[in-house]
Amino acid sequence: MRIAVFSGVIPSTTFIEHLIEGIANSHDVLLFGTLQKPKTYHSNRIKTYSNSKSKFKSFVVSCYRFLILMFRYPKRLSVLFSEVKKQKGTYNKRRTLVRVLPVILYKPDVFHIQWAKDLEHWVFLKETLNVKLVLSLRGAHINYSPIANETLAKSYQINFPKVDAFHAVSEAISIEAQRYNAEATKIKVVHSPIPASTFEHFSTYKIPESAVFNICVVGRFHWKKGYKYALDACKILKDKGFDFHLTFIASNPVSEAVLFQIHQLELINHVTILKGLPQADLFKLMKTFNVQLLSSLEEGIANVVLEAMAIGLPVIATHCGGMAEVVKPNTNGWLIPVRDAEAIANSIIEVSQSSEGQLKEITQNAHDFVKHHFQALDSIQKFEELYQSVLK
Amino acid sequence: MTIGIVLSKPPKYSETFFNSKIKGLQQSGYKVVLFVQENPDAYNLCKVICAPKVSKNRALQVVLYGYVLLKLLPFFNRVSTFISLEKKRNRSTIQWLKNLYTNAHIITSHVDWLHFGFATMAIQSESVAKTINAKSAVSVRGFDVDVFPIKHPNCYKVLWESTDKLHAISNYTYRKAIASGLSKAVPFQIITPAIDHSKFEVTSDVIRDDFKFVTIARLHWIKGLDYTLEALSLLKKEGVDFQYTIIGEGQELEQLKFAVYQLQLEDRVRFVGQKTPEDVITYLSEASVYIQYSDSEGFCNAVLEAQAMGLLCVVSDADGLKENVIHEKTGIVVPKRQPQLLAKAIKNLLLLPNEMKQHMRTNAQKRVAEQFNLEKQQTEFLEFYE
Repeated sequence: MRIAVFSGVIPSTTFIEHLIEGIANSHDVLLFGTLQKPKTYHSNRIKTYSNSKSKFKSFVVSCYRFLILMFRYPKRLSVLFSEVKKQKGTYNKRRTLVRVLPVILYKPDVFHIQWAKDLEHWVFLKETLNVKLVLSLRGAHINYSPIANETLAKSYQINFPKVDAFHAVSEAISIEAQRYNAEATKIKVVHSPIPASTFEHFSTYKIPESAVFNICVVGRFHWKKGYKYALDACKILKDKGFDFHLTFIASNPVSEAVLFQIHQLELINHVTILKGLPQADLFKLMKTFNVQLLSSLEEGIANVVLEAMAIGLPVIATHCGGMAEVVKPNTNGWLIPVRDAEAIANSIIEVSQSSEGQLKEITQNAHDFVKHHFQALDSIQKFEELYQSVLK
Repeated sequence: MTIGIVLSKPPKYSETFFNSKIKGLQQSGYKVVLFVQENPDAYNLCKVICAPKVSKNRALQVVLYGYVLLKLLPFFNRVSTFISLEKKRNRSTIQWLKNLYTNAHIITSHVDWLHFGFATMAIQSESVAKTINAKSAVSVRGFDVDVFPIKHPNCYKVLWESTDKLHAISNYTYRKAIASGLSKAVPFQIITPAIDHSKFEVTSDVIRDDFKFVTIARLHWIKGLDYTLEALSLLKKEGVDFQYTIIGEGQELEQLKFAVYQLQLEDRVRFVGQKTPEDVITYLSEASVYIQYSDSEGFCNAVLEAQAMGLLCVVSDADGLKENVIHEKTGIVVPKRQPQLLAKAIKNLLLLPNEMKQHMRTNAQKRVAEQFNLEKQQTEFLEFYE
């Protein structure tokens, strides 16, 4: 099989890169998109047909590709022209030409689109070249972008029926996608896997030696992370006289709203903001905390929670997206309603009042659960089945 | 006497209180000059002087700088005073060269008072008033003292040392100015915003008993609209049959629309975008309750307008709003960031007997008419410069 894994950029995010390398063990993987930084793949089954950010390089490479297309597959030229013709304005026409040319030339059997917003640009592959389309249903692209953007919602409703198979990162998102005419029988849930090395950081839980109760929140500053509710909860805890400290670990600068709220609620001495760390250091640091809090309003399945569970840190997560498929109350963590500061505060107090024995059991359950359901090998196999199913 | 007011742009013609301030001063024999970055709509209520344009093209910028230097030549003494003041403040050469350029239009002017319309506008212009022998006044509004100093600690240190008189739009903004380092010895005057009562009139003597709520706000985190929506979802769960309109636009539309969806309020909430002042009045006249549950406000004009039009106002206690609405007399004030309390307050308000609602409404109208009118504001500004 020749599978194109398309995210628009090369290299892609960590989990998409894992997917690419995993599939390349037994299939040819074709990569299209803009080259963001140089990347070499060890597998010779991964073929990169990138476009450069430089206009000049892009032009030269496109001329070369055009010539090959003309001599080898002259019939496909009409597909290329009709796609380019659809665009308005020279700029859009040129961009489309550069983008679709390599895909038409090196035509894969399956075109796997990672981000739903890109779908409308690639439906022609199915309609004209009979390339099978697989679409991943992930986070914001399904959960809230189409809610705020009616044009996008309409384009999903028109194009989702043309997709051959969907990959959903959670059960919850597969239900959400059905609002936009994704056919239930075409959706397969494949969880984003956790690399085996993460599980090596696990150790049996011990309550950290610290005078205060330490909470960590890992994730970038973005409204969907619901940090305002985490901070409102801090205010409640502070008013109750509960001794705690909350640390945000984020890769981007703090938002104005969060900064203002920390000052307004007089939480400066209770909250620390740390810059993102390399994964190994992050896991080490995470293990010094009493609990990890996810206060999000929307998620596919939050990786940071899976990681915390894998390494043996107790988790409190909001019931959003697919989180309930992972966090099972009273068994492997705490699951609380979204937008509810009171519930966050109460669950933090509950964790602090749990005995070491209870927490040992919960973290062990969490570790076992993630190990069982989020194995890398497993998920690659499921993707292969998905691709095979569309080619039948 | 000439008063120079520094703003980023001239006020729009709809910003009545600003225009009325200018007219009031002119009627009392003052000359008013506006110093602005740009004047796109050719404002003509008073003289407008634009700052030198800054170009991204370096070569062009050098030429522009040379041109501005030529204009500054006849003001050699002022330029040397400016440079020595800047040097005393330990500003780097690059910085004072920049400041000399961006302030050139003021350095070459003659005014008795130089009044910065926003404290943030005065940063890097602290030496100008003294250079031209004018007194320096600064207005502090919500954002100036709420958010900006948190992101830029000590940003007003130099400014407060060189300010002769402070204008605050509320007691709250004055307290925050003190907290940001202003000396209590600096004279100050609190002049609240005011509205043109001829434009905001009650359309009916009878109080509306339908549950139509409205908010006018930029879609910005500081306006607390997500908390408002959470409160309304609680009301919906309790079976209250309301409709809520949000007037305004901004970058948070996506997250607010998501909140409406997540809180299952799609049948109750509509975003109508930005509206003209005339349309705003129509929307207000069609509603019965005005909600302003902001995380922070310096004072908030929209709440004054809503009160004048006879809407019952529910606002947060953050922090200028407490001065805008008197709890249980002219409206309801609810502790900030607590949607459950907001829901309860709105419900209790709706359940009040009509005569009590009417009483609150009349109190609010009376207070706004007496204390927040343009004539009073004009007199206060005359006092300010005396």
